[in-house]
Amino acid sequence: MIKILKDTPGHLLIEIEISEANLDNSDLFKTQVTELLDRHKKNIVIDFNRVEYIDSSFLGSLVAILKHAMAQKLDVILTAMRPDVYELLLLIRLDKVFKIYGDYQEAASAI
Amino acid sequence: METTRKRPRPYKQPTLMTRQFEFITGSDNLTSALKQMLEFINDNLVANVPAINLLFKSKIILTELLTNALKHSFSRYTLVDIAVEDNSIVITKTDHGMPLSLISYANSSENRIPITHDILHTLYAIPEGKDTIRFGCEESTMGDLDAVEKIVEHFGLIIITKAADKFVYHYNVQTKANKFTVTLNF
Repeated sequence: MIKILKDTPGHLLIEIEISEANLDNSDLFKTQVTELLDRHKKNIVIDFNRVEYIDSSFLGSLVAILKHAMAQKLDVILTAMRPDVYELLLLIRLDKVFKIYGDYQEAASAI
Repeated sequence: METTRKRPRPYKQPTLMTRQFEFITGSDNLTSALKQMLEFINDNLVANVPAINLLFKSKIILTELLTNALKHSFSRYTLVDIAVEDNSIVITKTDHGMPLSLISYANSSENRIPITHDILHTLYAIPEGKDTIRFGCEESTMGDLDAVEKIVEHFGLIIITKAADKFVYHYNVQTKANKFTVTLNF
Protein backbone atom coordinates (compact mmCIF):
# COMPACT_ATOMS: atom_id res chain seq x y z
CA MET A 1 0.00 0.00 0.00
CA ILE A 2 2.67 2.50 1.03
CA LYS A 3 6.45 2.43 0.78
CA ILE A 4 8.93 4.64 2.64
CA LEU A 5 11.20 6.20 0.03
CA LYS A 6 13.18 8.53 2.27
CA ASP A 7 13.67 9.06 5.98
CA THR A 8 15.24 12.45 6.78
CA PRO A 9 15.58 14.17 10.18
CA GLY A 10 12.60 16.40 9.34
CA HIS A 11 10.26 14.22 7.37
CA LEU A 12 9.38 10.90 5.83
CA LEU A 13 8.73 10.59 2.10
CA ILE A 14 6.26 7.83 1.34
CA GLU A 15 4.77 6.63 -1.93
CA ILE A 16 1.28 5.26 -2.43
CA GLU A 17 1.79 2.04 -4.37
CA ILE A 18 -1.71 1.64 -5.76
CA SER A 19 -3.35 3.22 -8.81
CA GLU A 20 -6.94 3.21 -7.55
CA ALA A 21 -7.22 4.97 -4.21
CA ASN A 22 -10.72 4.05 -3.12
CA LEU A 23 -13.07 2.45 -0.62
CA ASP A 24 -11.19 -0.87 -0.84
CA ASN A 25 -7.98 0.53 0.57
CA SER A 26 -8.81 3.81 2.32
CA ASP A 27 -9.02 2.36 5.84
CA LEU A 28 -5.74 0.48 5.50
CA PHE A 29 -4.05 3.61 4.15
CA LYS A 30 -5.26 5.62 7.12
CA THR A 31 -4.07 2.99 9.59
CA GLN A 32 -0.63 2.69 8.01
CA VAL A 33 0.06 6.41 7.77
CA THR A 34 -1.18 7.21 11.27
CA GLU A 35 1.10 4.45 12.58
CA LEU A 36 4.01 6.10 10.79
CA LEU A 37 3.14 9.45 12.35
CA ASP A 38 2.96 7.90 15.81
CA ARG A 39 6.20 5.95 15.40
CA HIS A 40 8.42 8.52 13.69
CA LYS A 41 6.93 11.81 14.96
CA LYS A 42 7.89 13.51 11.68
CA ASN A 43 6.11 15.38 8.92
CA ILE A 44 5.03 13.11 6.10
CA VAL A 45 5.35 13.86 2.40
CA ILE A 46 3.05 11.65 0.32
CA ASP A 47 3.97 10.93 -3.31
CA PHE A 48 0.83 10.35 -5.42
CA ASN A 49 2.50 9.69 -8.77
CA ARG A 50 1.03 6.18 -9.09
CA VAL A 51 -2.52 7.18 -8.15
CA GLU A 52 -4.73 7.41 -11.23
CA TYR A 53 -7.98 8.08 -9.45
CA ILE A 54 -9.17 8.80 -5.96
CA ASP A 55 -12.61 8.67 -4.37
CA SER A 56 -14.30 10.35 -1.44
CA SER A 57 -13.46 7.50 0.96
CA PHE A 58 -9.75 7.92 0.34
CA LEU A 59 -10.04 11.71 0.57
CA GLY A 60 -11.77 11.23 3.92
CA SER A 61 -8.82 9.13 5.08
CA LEU A 62 -6.38 11.81 3.94
CA VAL A 63 -8.22 14.42 6.02
CA ALA A 64 -8.31 12.07 9.03
CA ILE A 65 -4.53 11.63 8.68
CA LEU A 66 -4.03 15.40 8.52
CA LYS A 67 -6.09 15.86 11.69
CA HIS A 68 -4.01 13.18 13.41
CA ALA A 69 -0.79 14.90 12.32
CA MET A 70 -1.92 18.39 13.35
CA ALA A 71 -2.85 17.12 16.80
CA GLN A 72 0.85 16.22 17.15
CA LYS A 73 2.01 19.55 15.63
CA LEU A 74 3.04 17.69 12.48
CA ASP A 75 2.09 18.19 8.86
CA VAL A 76 1.10 16.10 5.83
CA ILE A 77 2.31 17.32 2.45
CA LEU A 78 1.06 16.03 -0.90
CA THR A 79 3.18 15.80 -4.07
CA ALA A 80 3.22 14.53 -7.65
CA MET A 81 -0.53 14.37 -8.22
CA ARG A 82 -1.90 13.58 -11.65
CA PRO A 83 -4.14 16.30 -13.12
CA ASP A 84 -7.46 14.49 -12.48
CA VAL A 85 -6.58 13.78 -8.87
CA TYR A 86 -5.43 17.37 -8.33
CA GLU A 87 -8.58 18.73 -10.00
CA LEU A 88 -10.74 16.74 -7.61
CA LEU A 89 -8.86 18.11 -4.59
CA LEU A 90 -9.33 21.62 -5.96
CA LEU A 91 -13.05 21.00 -6.47
CA ILE A 92 -13.57 20.21 -2.80
CA ARG A 93 -11.05 22.85 -1.68
CA LEU A 94 -8.61 20.52 0.03
CA ASP A 95 -5.86 22.72 -1.40
CA LYS A 96 -6.89 25.16 1.36
CA VAL A 97 -5.78 22.79 4.11
CA PHE A 98 -3.04 20.66 2.51
CA LYS A 99 0.30 21.90 1.19
CA ILE A 100 0.51 20.51 -2.34
CA TYR A 101 3.65 20.53 -4.50
CA GLY A 102 4.41 19.39 -8.01
CA ASP A 103 7.20 17.04 -6.97
CA TYR A 104 9.30 15.98 -4.01
CA GLN A 105 12.16 18.39 -4.71
CA GLU A 106 9.77 21.32 -4.61
CA ALA A 107 8.20 20.03 -1.40
CA ALA A 108 11.55 19.33 0.28
CA SER A 109 12.83 22.83 -0.38
CA ALA A 110 9.64 24.39 0.97
CA ILE A 111 9.25 22.49 4.23
CA MET B 1 -46.44 48.04 -44.81
CA GLU B 2 -44.31 45.03 -45.27
CA THR B 3 -44.97 42.28 -42.87
CA THR B 4 -42.71 39.44 -42.06
CA ARG B 5 -43.94 36.05 -41.28
CA LYS B 6 -41.89 33.71 -39.23
CA ARG B 7 -41.02 30.67 -41.22
CA PRO B 8 -41.68 27.52 -39.28
CA ARG B 9 -38.49 25.94 -38.11
CA PRO B 10 -37.91 22.53 -39.50
CA TYR B 11 -38.49 20.00 -36.76
CA LYS B 12 -35.26 18.63 -35.45
CA GLN B 13 -35.44 15.33 -33.68
CA PRO B 14 -33.52 15.74 -30.42
CA THR B 15 -30.63 13.38 -30.02
CA LEU B 16 -31.22 11.15 -27.07
CA MET B 17 -29.15 8.10 -26.36
CA THR B 18 -30.01 6.13 -23.25
CA ARG B 19 -28.69 2.99 -21.70
CA GLN B 20 -29.33 1.19 -18.46
CA PHE B 21 -26.47 -0.44 -16.55
CA GLU B 22 -27.04 -2.98 -13.81
CA PHE B 23 -24.49 -2.80 -11.02
CA ILE B 24 -24.55 -5.86 -8.79
CA THR B 25 -23.73 -4.50 -5.36
CA GLY B 26 -20.86 -6.26 -3.71
CA SER B 27 -19.66 -8.36 -6.58
CA ASP B 28 -19.30 -6.19 -9.64
CA ASN B 29 -16.00 -4.54 -10.18
CA LEU B 30 -16.53 -0.84 -9.78
CA THR B 31 -13.68 0.01 -12.12
CA SER B 32 -14.99 -2.07 -15.01
CA ALA B 33 -18.55 -0.77 -14.51
CA LEU B 34 -17.24 2.77 -14.47
CA LYS B 35 -15.26 2.15 -17.65
CA GLN B 36 -18.33 0.87 -19.53
CA MET B 37 -20.42 3.85 -18.43
CA LEU B 38 -17.79 6.38 -19.43
CA GLU B 39 -17.35 4.69 -22.81
CA PHE B 40 -21.08 5.01 -23.42
CA ILE B 41 -20.99 8.71 -22.59
CA ASN B 42 -17.90 9.32 -24.69
CA ASP B 43 -19.32 7.45 -27.67
CA ASN B 44 -22.54 9.46 -27.64
CA LEU B 45 -21.39 12.99 -26.93
CA VAL B 46 -22.15 15.29 -29.82
CA ALA B 47 -19.31 17.12 -31.53
CA ASN B 48 -18.07 20.49 -30.30
CA VAL B 49 -18.73 19.93 -26.61
CA PRO B 50 -16.08 20.16 -23.87
CA ALA B 51 -15.67 16.39 -23.80
CA ILE B 52 -12.64 16.21 -21.49
CA ASN B 53 -14.34 18.30 -18.83
CA LEU B 54 -17.64 16.43 -19.16
CA LEU B 55 -15.92 13.06 -18.93
CA PHE B 56 -13.95 14.18 -15.86
CA LYS B 57 -17.14 15.32 -14.15
CA SER B 58 -19.02 12.19 -15.24
CA LYS B 59 -16.22 10.04 -13.88
CA ILE B 60 -16.14 11.58 -10.42
CA ILE B 61 -19.94 11.62 -10.21
CA LEU B 62 -20.29 7.97 -11.27
CA THR B 63 -17.45 6.95 -8.94
CA GLU B 64 -19.26 8.51 -6.00
CA LEU B 65 -22.67 7.10 -6.96
CA LEU B 66 -21.25 3.59 -7.29
CA THR B 67 -19.15 3.90 -4.13
CA ASN B 68 -22.27 5.05 -2.32
CA ALA B 69 -24.07 1.96 -3.61
CA LEU B 70 -21.31 -0.27 -2.22
CA LYS B 71 -21.29 1.49 1.14
CA HIS B 72 -24.95 2.08 1.82
CA SER B 73 -27.22 0.11 -0.47
CA PHE B 74 -29.29 -2.67 1.02
CA SER B 75 -30.50 -3.90 -2.34
CA ARG B 76 -28.60 -6.39 -4.46
CA TYR B 77 -28.94 -4.41 -7.66
CA THR B 78 -28.27 -0.82 -8.33
CA LEU B 79 -29.48 0.51 -11.66
CA VAL B 80 -27.68 3.33 -13.39
CA ASP B 81 -29.48 4.99 -16.30
CA ILE B 82 -27.48 7.33 -18.48
CA ALA B 83 -29.07 9.65 -21.03
CA VAL B 84 -26.85 11.65 -23.35
CA GLU B 85 -28.82 14.44 -24.98
CA ASP B 86 -27.94 17.35 -27.26
CA ASN B 87 -27.10 19.62 -24.37
CA SER B 88 -27.01 17.53 -21.23
CA ILE B 89 -26.02 14.27 -19.62
CA VAL B 90 -28.48 12.86 -17.10
CA ILE B 91 -27.32 10.10 -14.76
CA THR B 92 -29.90 8.37 -12.58
CA LYS B 93 -29.01 5.85 -9.89
CA THR B 94 -31.83 3.74 -8.48
CA ASP B 95 -31.82 1.23 -5.66
CA HIS B 96 -34.50 -0.12 -3.37
CA GLY B 97 -34.67 -0.03 0.38
CA MET B 98 -35.08 2.40 3.21
CA PRO B 99 -35.03 6.11 2.34
CA LEU B 100 -32.18 8.38 3.35
CA SER B 101 -32.90 10.22 6.59
CA LEU B 102 -32.46 13.43 4.56
CA ILE B 103 -35.86 12.81 2.99
CA SER B 104 -37.44 14.28 6.14
CA TYR B 105 -36.28 17.68 4.84
CA ALA B 106 -38.43 17.34 1.71
CA ASN B 107 -41.51 18.70 3.40
CA SER B 108 -39.77 21.46 5.33
CA SER B 109 -41.13 24.98 5.00
CA GLU B 110 -37.58 26.38 4.98
CA ASN B 111 -35.94 27.30 1.70
CA ARG B 112 -32.90 25.21 2.51
CA ILE B 113 -31.65 23.19 5.44
CA PRO B 114 -27.95 22.79 6.26
CA ILE B 115 -26.84 19.14 6.22
CA THR B 116 -23.17 19.65 7.05
CA HIS B 117 -21.02 22.71 7.68
CA ASP B 118 -17.28 23.16 8.10
CA ILE B 119 -14.55 25.63 7.11
CA LEU B 120 -14.68 24.43 3.49
CA HIS B 121 -18.39 24.07 2.65
CA THR B 122 -21.97 24.12 3.75
CA LEU B 123 -24.06 21.41 2.13
CA TYR B 124 -27.80 22.10 1.95
CA ALA B 125 -30.96 20.12 1.32
CA ILE B 126 -33.43 22.20 -0.71
CA PRO B 127 -37.05 20.96 -0.59
CA GLU B 128 -38.34 20.28 -4.11
CA GLY B 129 -41.80 18.91 -3.49
CA LYS B 130 -43.12 15.61 -2.27
CA ASP B 131 -40.34 13.30 -1.10
CA THR B 132 -37.79 15.16 -3.18
CA ILE B 133 -34.79 17.26 -2.24
CA ARG B 134 -32.14 18.98 -4.28
CA PHE B 135 -28.62 19.34 -2.95
CA GLY B 136 -26.94 22.73 -2.86
CA CYS B 137 -23.48 23.73 -1.73
CA GLU B 138 -21.83 26.97 -0.70
CA GLU B 139 -18.15 27.52 -0.14
CA SER B 140 -17.39 28.75 3.38
CA THR B 141 -15.17 31.66 4.22
CA MET B 142 -11.92 30.10 5.36
CA GLY B 143 -11.50 30.69 9.06
CA ASP B 144 -9.01 29.47 11.60
CA LEU B 145 -7.04 26.49 10.33
CA ASP B 146 -7.37 24.99 13.81
CA ALA B 147 -10.87 24.19 12.62
CA VAL B 148 -9.37 21.56 10.33
CA GLU B 149 -10.21 19.09 13.05
CA LYS B 150 -13.89 19.80 12.38
CA ILE B 151 -13.75 19.16 8.64
CA VAL B 152 -16.42 16.64 7.74
CA GLU B 153 -14.70 13.53 6.38
CA HIS B 154 -17.54 12.56 4.05
CA PHE B 155 -17.06 14.18 0.66
CA GLY B 156 -19.29 12.07 -1.59
CA LEU B 157 -22.37 14.33 -1.66
CA ILE B 158 -20.24 17.47 -1.87
CA ILE B 159 -18.27 16.12 -4.84
CA ILE B 160 -21.45 15.28 -6.75
CA THR B 161 -23.18 18.54 -5.83
CA LYS B 162 -20.23 20.68 -6.90
CA ALA B 163 -19.50 18.76 -10.09
CA ALA B 164 -23.14 18.68 -11.23
CA ASP B 165 -25.48 21.39 -12.47
CA LYS B 166 -28.34 19.71 -10.63
CA PHE B 167 -28.41 16.87 -8.09
CA VAL B 168 -31.76 15.60 -6.85
CA TYR B 169 -32.81 12.81 -4.49
CA HIS B 170 -36.31 11.35 -4.60
CA TYR B 171 -37.86 8.52 -2.60
CA ASN B 172 -40.84 6.71 -4.02
CA VAL B 173 -42.87 5.47 -1.09
CA GLN B 174 -44.90 2.99 -3.19
CA THR B 175 -41.97 1.27 -4.88
CA LYS B 176 -39.43 2.00 -2.12
CA ALA B 177 -37.09 3.28 -4.79
CA ASN B 178 -34.27 5.66 -3.89
CA LYS B 179 -33.53 7.70 -6.98
CA PHE B 180 -30.55 10.04 -7.36
CA THR B 181 -30.63 12.15 -10.53
CA VAL B 182 -27.57 14.11 -11.60
CA THR B 183 -27.63 16.54 -14.54
CA LEU B 184 -24.64 17.97 -16.36
CA ASN B 185 -25.44 20.73 -18.83
CA PHE B 186 -23.26 21.83 -21.71
